[in-house]
Amino acid sequence: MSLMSTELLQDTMDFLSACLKEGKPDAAVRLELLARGFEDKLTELYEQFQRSECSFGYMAEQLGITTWDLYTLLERRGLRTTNL
Amino acid sequence: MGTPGPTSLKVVVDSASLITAAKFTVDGHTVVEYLAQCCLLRITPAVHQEVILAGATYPDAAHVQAMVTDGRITVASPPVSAASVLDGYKLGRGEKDSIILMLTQPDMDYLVVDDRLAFVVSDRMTVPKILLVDLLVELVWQGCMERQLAEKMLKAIAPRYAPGFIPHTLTMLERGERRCLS
Repeated sequence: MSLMSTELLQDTMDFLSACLKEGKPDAAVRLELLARGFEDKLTELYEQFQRSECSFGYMAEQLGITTWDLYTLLERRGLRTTNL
Repeated sequence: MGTPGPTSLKVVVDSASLITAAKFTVDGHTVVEYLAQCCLLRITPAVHQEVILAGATYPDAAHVQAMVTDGRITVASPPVSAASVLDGYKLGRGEKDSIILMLTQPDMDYLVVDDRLAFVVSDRMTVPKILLVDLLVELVWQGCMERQLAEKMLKAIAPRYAPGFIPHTLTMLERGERRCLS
């Protein structure tokens, strides 16, 4: 499921990026909305993770990315990758 | 590197601990390689999928896959995967299956888990669980690992832990007891 979601998300991003390159301005808006939706979900889940209401694995599953991707994402933002 | 002896600890490793052990190195070897020398390491198919197959583009994941291929890590399915009680928690598939595997394989010594929710749920189900840092302590105290090596590993994996965990663990190794205050 996680892998499928990652592929779908990547596919949507690739599609919108291609639209953007072709000069379709609404693609930029949709890409931004997609990113914003992801950011909102990440913020909500990360708060739950820090409060130990959800686990790291659950957070990755809900975001539709791999655990490695989630580690990389959090580390790039200087966020803690553990709730210990 | 060698293989575990007959008295080795048998542990199920969850995703977070496995990733930590796969990412950090000491003297050119990953922590998980050292663990495989003195523990029988077992993971569930869900953890295999999460950490290794889904992370195939990461070199560290490929390295763990090589350890699965050569038998240093074994993959074992829990006899059941449906667990309505566990489904009530916001745990990942790998964490739930690792807990079920521990409940159904009584020969395993510990579930190595570094996630607080998974740790608490394991505790409620009386699953023997251990943090990765405490597993290192256990291995030193059982004579399976040199203290100096464990100390190097603790310093290597320190970025993964909140303040307090690594200094406490180093003090445990120095004093030879868990209940040390200074």
